[in-house]
Order: sequence, then structure tokens, then C-alpha cells
Amino acid sequence: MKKFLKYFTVLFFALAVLSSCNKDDDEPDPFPSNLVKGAYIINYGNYGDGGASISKYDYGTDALTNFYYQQQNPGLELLSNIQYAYEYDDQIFMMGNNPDQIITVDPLFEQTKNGVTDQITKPRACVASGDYLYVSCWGEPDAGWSIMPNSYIAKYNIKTQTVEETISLPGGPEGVEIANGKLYAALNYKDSVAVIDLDDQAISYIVTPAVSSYFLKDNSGNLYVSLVNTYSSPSEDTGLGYINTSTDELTTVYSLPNVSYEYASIMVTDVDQSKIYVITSETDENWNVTGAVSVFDVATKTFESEKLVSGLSGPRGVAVNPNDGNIYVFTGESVTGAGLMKIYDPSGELIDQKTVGASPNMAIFLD
Amino acid sequence: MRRFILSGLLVLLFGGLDAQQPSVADTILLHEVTSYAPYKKYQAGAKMESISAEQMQFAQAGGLDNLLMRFTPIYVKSNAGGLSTIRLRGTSPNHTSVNFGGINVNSLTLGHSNMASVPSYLFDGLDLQYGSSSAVNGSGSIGGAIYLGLQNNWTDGLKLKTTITQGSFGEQLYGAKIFAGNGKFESVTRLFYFSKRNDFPFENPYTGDVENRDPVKDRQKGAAVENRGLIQELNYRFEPDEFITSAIWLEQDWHEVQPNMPTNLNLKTLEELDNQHVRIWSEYQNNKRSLNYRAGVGYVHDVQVYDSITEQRIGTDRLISELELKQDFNPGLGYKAGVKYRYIVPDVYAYSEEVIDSEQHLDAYFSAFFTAWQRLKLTLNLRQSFVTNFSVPFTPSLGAEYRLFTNETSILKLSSAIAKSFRVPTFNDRYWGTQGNPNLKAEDGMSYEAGLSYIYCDAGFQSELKLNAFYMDVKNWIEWRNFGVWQARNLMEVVSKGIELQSNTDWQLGATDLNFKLNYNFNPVEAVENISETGITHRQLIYVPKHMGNAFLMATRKQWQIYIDGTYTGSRFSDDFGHELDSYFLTNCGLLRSINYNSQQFKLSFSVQNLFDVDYQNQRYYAMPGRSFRISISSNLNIL
Repeated sequence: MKKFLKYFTVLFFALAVLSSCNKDDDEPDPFPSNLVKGAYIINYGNYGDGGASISKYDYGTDALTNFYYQQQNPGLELLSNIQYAYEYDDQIFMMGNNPDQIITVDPLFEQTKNGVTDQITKPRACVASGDYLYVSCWGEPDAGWSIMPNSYIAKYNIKTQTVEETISLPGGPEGVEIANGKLYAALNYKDSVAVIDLDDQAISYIVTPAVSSYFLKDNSGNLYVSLVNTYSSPSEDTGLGYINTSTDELTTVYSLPNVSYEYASIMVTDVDQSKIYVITSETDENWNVTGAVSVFDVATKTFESEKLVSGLSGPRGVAVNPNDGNIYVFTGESVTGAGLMKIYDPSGELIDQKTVGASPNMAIFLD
Repeated sequence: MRRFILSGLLVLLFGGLDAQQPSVADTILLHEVTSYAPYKKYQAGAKMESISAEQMQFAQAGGLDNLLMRFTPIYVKSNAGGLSTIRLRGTSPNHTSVNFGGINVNSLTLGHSNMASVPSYLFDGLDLQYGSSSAVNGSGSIGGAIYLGLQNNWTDGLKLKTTITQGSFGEQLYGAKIFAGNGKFESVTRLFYFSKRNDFPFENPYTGDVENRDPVKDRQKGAAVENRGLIQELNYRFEPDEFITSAIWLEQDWHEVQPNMPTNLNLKTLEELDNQHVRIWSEYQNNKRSLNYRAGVGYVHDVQVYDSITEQRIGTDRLISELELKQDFNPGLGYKAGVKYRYIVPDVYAYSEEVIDSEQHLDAYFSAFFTAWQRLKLTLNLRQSFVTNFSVPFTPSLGAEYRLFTNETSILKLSSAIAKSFRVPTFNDRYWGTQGNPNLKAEDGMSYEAGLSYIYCDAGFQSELKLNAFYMDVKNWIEWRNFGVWQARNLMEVVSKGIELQSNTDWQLGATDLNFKLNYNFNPVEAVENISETGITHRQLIYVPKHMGNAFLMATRKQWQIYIDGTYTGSRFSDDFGHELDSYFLTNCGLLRSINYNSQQFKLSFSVQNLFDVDYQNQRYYAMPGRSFRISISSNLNIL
């Protein structure tokens, strides 16, 4: 009997463990792919007057849902202008301006917690590392919006949803990227890229020929940085800079006139990182403004002479669908009217065009 | 006495075509004498309206936006005190000229005036013209025109008018008007100070609080207003038909830029806007001979500074001169012709001096009227403007009025007008940074109007009813868009049409005089062509209500006056996605008591605005004040 009880006990625990394992395996996925998969277009809206929205495009079924956030959160609307969005660890972090906040939603874009406003002033972009999100913030601008003396990096704890500390970084940090244990911040009001050592927060600068806006990291962990001409910091030396993150040097500048000074997604790599698509906008001799998508060949380190797409009106962002390599270009002429999402194949042929929300900035692809 | 007045009115009414009066019944508006007669003389068929002196007084605290929204069927897009822009007959704010003497005070850089910053208190009258009048007023008068009136009384003695008003949310108005003269020389000084904390409470539903979605009690921040101004008139009359008038208008308008409700909850930064203006207009008139002439000179200095950033000033200086000849061959036939010249120097940080250092405008115009068979009046206006390096279309207009029926107590009149109109793009449109577009064309409109007016007068009851229908087609409509860089372009063709009903009735019930006014507008306005890739066509333009109306009732009995007015504003689209702002109805009322003491007049008033505490939005996401109160003491003193 004792032996029986012993075997019975072992068997009981074994069954319990196995059944609990089964139970876990049967737990439904809270974010099933059939509900989540798609391109999520971030529509900035009208500066200071709301109007931001999310458009969901299910490229599998060709179904587009505008005002998706409102659909997923009945009774709520995005009150802030969404400057940038970032997906990390089954969460999407949206940088909201006016009012300034970090809004966190799940992959279904359902928001269950309030946005974080404390120590967040004019958030621009972000990048994650471990439990932290590094958020570039402009802070209180100077009177002329010309030097951004109060800008900083907010170190945001994703778990506690608090800003643990801020790192002062004058010059208007915009795009941020992490490489070799260092945080790189593209300064939009100073001809430099800031490099912040994440261990001791020491800041050094890489001088650039123009102000910068965003980064792309290549397979070797080095960075391409967009060099742009802005109203407050005019420069003719626009293009792509290449930063060696081991030496923290700007090794080369690949010149490209009229790189767009829009925000959020003016450049993107293709699926295998062999090409970089860059948005440009130029005014011709007849004062007509047209936009285009230029192609940088990573292997030859040159811009292709032919634009991938030209004749764009009001280009604001570009994205690449990681599933099929198609290029999504976002245009928006009006801050109170619809924007467009134009889908091109890698040869530059227009495949489709969809009407999205006001001032589409960028897209994130979820699976 | 009443019979005498009535007879006088009818004499004017019937004699209007024969006498040297501008038009049938135009010198009559019940309960008031209109001041728009000089404008109407050459614009038969044009719809004009005067705001009554009482209504001017009821809304003297604040800007023209209050006055227009309460007493006219004109929509003004505004928040709670900072920026208010007019939408007359569905057109843009740039399509209404605001005229002070020979000056269109609209900003040359922005193209329009902030209606909240044009003080009602300073002026004796306000006349409105609905519909195109570019042939008369020049560039910009596509949707209509506002005439700010100063009355020449040729004071003999010394008079002082003062007003002190205190209202809710820190509102205060201090005003004084000093009239001094000897019948030939007159000095009129008008000055005011108006301020408002504008810290009104409201229910804020835009908390962004997803855990507790109930609205919270909030209080408006960052919406303070402080305006001050002075008009100094110096007038001299050589002879009854020969005089010189001069007015210097100094104005400083400061306001905080009201944050919207989502931002107000955790407001971190305040923004402010400071505007300073110097406007001078001096005019000599000689009407002694059959050929009359008028010569005027003016100067305007406008400066706007945002957030005290003086290096980013936006300003213009302009010199204006005008010469006009006028001749009436007989009461039924006359003409006037003139030239107007403007020399403009912009001072805008974002313009390149290599592109623009100055600009010259020259307008040549001709107007004529002709009456026939004592029933028909025809007017013709022609204008050609010339602008440095810019082509402006020739602008004619034709108007007609026909008296269909008259008898001892009533008159029925038919009117019609066809007018071409134009607007030269603003300086910002053409020269702002690298984004200005020097290839813009002038906006180009055609407007057609027909009206029917009926006037009834008997001893105890007088009423005027007007029904107007209009159709306006504006091509090359300019808007700014982001084409990769922000730029103004001739984007749209817009058609605005509508029906306007207006009535004004006086009647006497025993010792009580009643005045009742009613306005209703139906105004569909839509783009019929839009070159923007995602431009909307054939849908009501944003921030233009299809339906607007208001009513005003005032009773006067001995020393007492009581009034109530209400305004209905129909729903409006706030964006191209079809989001609509709800319609709303606002009610105001007030009580006034006149006191005569030692032959001096005093007036006490108490009023309630938004009587039923309606929660509404005029501009999406912007809070508006609920019920508010105002008390006022005015005096009218004859000192000498």
C-alpha cells in the first residue's frame, strides 16, 4: 500500500505538471496574428489641433481601417499629435505632442493605461534597450526655436512606466539609435550627432556638415544618418552620413540634394538591407514643389541616378513591408484632410493607393 | 410727431429716386438711420446692413466678433478670445475687406483681420455689405465688406462720453470719447482699454484618462486678452460743403494663444501674440461745385510679434493716396471716378529683400448711377488694379433696383446685381521664405445676386423684410498645402450659394416700443474643383455652417430697456473626414436704465451672456465660456 501511495503520488504530480503544461499551451494568444498582422500607419494630424489617428492596412486581405485607434478604444480619440511610434516587446509606444505624453498600446492598439506625461516635454523619437526606452525630447524650446537649449533624453522605465532620469542634450535630438553600448542622437538644431555612453552618460559629439534627423543601422552595427537642410539650420551639404560606431567618426558623406526635412520616416532600408530609400523634396525653376524617393545602393555606396519614384506631392514618410519588400510612401498635403499611402513594388511601379488619415508620418508593421 | 416722422420717412422713400438720395428706401431702416448710403449710391442691388446703435452698445466690450455673431447671420470661427476669423457668405477670412476711411485694414501679410481685435467701442457705426464689391473696394472684397464708421457731428461745445464695464472672468472695459469743437473745428478723442483674464470654468471631456473617462472640471488657462486703442479725429469745416477730416488710430492688441482642451489640462507653456497698428487717414472734400472732389492720404504701420521674439517680426508699412472726382448731372444721373495708389514696404523676417523690398498698387475706378421712370435705378462700377509684377483682372459690376409696387404704407422693391471680384494673393502667399509662390494667380470671382424687399409703415407699426438669393463662383481659390514644402497654390474653384432672410420690425404697444430683428441664412458652399490629390469636392467646406440665424427683441418703456437675443449656429465640418461640430443656440439678455440728472445722461446696464450656460465648441477642441455676467455704467455729459 505504501508503495502504491508512493507511485500514486509521483504519478499525481507528474500528471499535474503535464496537465498544467498543457493548460499553458492551450492559453489563447492574446494578440493572434490574424488580428494583428498588418501595416499601421501613424497619422500625425494637425499640429496643436488634434486630428491624429491610426490607419490599419491588412495587406493580406487588402482591408484598410481608418481611425483604428478609435475603433479599438470606443469613446477615446488620440488627442495628441503622434510624432513617432515604436514597437518593442509586444507594446507600441507613441510619442504624443500637444499634449505631450508617451502613449502605450498593445498590438491591438488597445490602451488600458494613461499616457505618461511626467518629465516628457515634446517627445520626438525613441529606441529601446532592455527595460528602458530612450526618448528624445525637445523640452521647452527657445524663443526662436533655433537652438533648443532645453532638450534632453528621457530614460523611461518600461516596466514602472516612469521616467527615471533625464540626460540634458541641447540641440534638439530627433532620431535615436543604440550601437556598441552607446546611444546616438541625431541633433536637428546643431551640426552634430551626440554620442552618449550608456554606462556613465558621458556625451561626445560627431560634427556633421548639416543638422541630422534619423539613423539606420547596417548589418555591421554602423549607422547611416540623414543630413538635412532646415529653416533654422540651412545647409547645402545634405545627404547620408556614415558613422563608424567603433571609432565614432563620420567617415563618409554621400551627397544627395534636397533630403526631406520631414520627421519620423524619411528613410528606410529594404528587406535585405541592400538599399536605402530616401525621400527628397525640391522646388523647380517654376516654383513647383515635387517629391521623390531616391535609392542608395549599400554595396556600391552610391545613389542611383534614377529616382525610384518621382512626382510626389507632399511626401512625408516611407516604409518597407518586411513581408514582400513593397515600398509604402506616405503623402499628405492637408493637415485637416486625408493623406495617401502609395504602394510601390521594388521596381518603383505603383501597385495600389489608399486613403489614410491626416498627415501620415510613418508605418510600423506587426505580425 | 409720429405722423410727421412717418410722413418724412415715406417722402424719403418715394422721393428716393428723384431726390439726390442714394436709392429707394436706402436711407430708411427702421429704428435707425443707416450710414451706408454713400456706399449704396453706386451699388444698386447690393445687400447692405447697418448694425444699430443699441446693438453696438450691447456688444461694445470686445471685438467685432461678438457683434457679428450675435446680431448678424455671419459665421465667425473663433475660440474664446484670441483669434476670430470671419466667413462671410461661406468665403475665407481673406475675402472680406475691413474698411476704415480709405484704408482696408486687413493685414497684407495674412490677408485678413482678427475680428476679436477690431474694437467695437471705438466706432459709431458698423455697416456690412454682403457679396462681392471688389469693383468698389478693390482686392479682397469677394465675400463682402465691413465699413467701420465714425460720425462727424461738427460738435459745438464739449461733450464727454464714458463707459466702465466689469464682467465675469476678469473682463473690464474702460472707454472715453471726448468731443470738442466750435462748429467748424472739431476734435474727437476716443480711447479704450479692454482686458479679460478669460479663466472661465468648463467641463473638460478630453482628459486622455483611459482609466476614468468622465469629464473633469477644468478652468481655461492661457487665454488672456489685453487690448488698448485710441482714435484721434481732427476735423475742420471751411464751409458746409468743404471740409477736411483726419483720423489717427493707434491700437495695441495682445493676447495669449488659447490652448485647446486636451492641452489645457496639463498646460506647460504659454504662447502670446502682440499686434501693433498705426492707421492714419486724412481726407479733404469739396462739394461746393457741380464737380465735387475728394482727396485722401493715409499711412498704415502693422507689426506682429509672436512670443516676444522681436527678431521674427512680421510687419508692413504702406502709404496710401486717393483722388476722386464726383459729379451728379441731375438727381437721376451721376458718376464718380478716381485713382488710388499704395506704396507698400514689407518688414517680414522670412522674406528675402532680393525678392521683395517694396510693392506698388494702383487702382483706377469709375462708378455711375442712372435712374429712370422713377422706378428703376441702375449702377455701374469698373475697376482696374495694377500691381507690381502681378496681373490683376479687370473688375466690373452692374446693379439694378426696381420698385415693383408702392402705396401710402408700403413699398416692394426688386434688386439684382452681377459683380466680378478678385483678390491679390497676400505677401506671405507670394514671398514667405523659400515657400512663397510668385506664380500664383489672383483669385477671381463672379457673383450673382437677386433680392426682394418689402417695407410697411403705418402709425404704430413699421417693418422691413428682405429676401436675398446669391450664387458666387470663385476660381483660383488659394490655400496653403504641404507639397513637400508648405506652399500657397491656386487650389480650388468654390461655389457658394444661399438664401438670406432678414427682417426688422418696430411697433408700439401703448407706452412701450418694441423692436424685433430676425436673420436666417442658408448657405451651401463647396469646392467644385480641387487640384489637391486628396481634395474634397461637392461637400460643404469646413467651418462654414449651412444654417445660421439669430433673433433680437428689445422693449423700450420710458427710461427702461430690456432685450433678449439668440443665435443659432448650425453644425459644421471640422475636417475633411466628416467630423462635425454640433449646432448650438446661445441666448443673451440684458436690462438698461437711463437716468437724466441735471440735463446729463447716464445709463446703467446689466447683461447675461450665454443665459442657459450652453456647453459648445465653435472651434474643435476649444472650450468656450458658459454663462457670464456684465455690468456697465455709461455717461453722456454736455460739459460746455
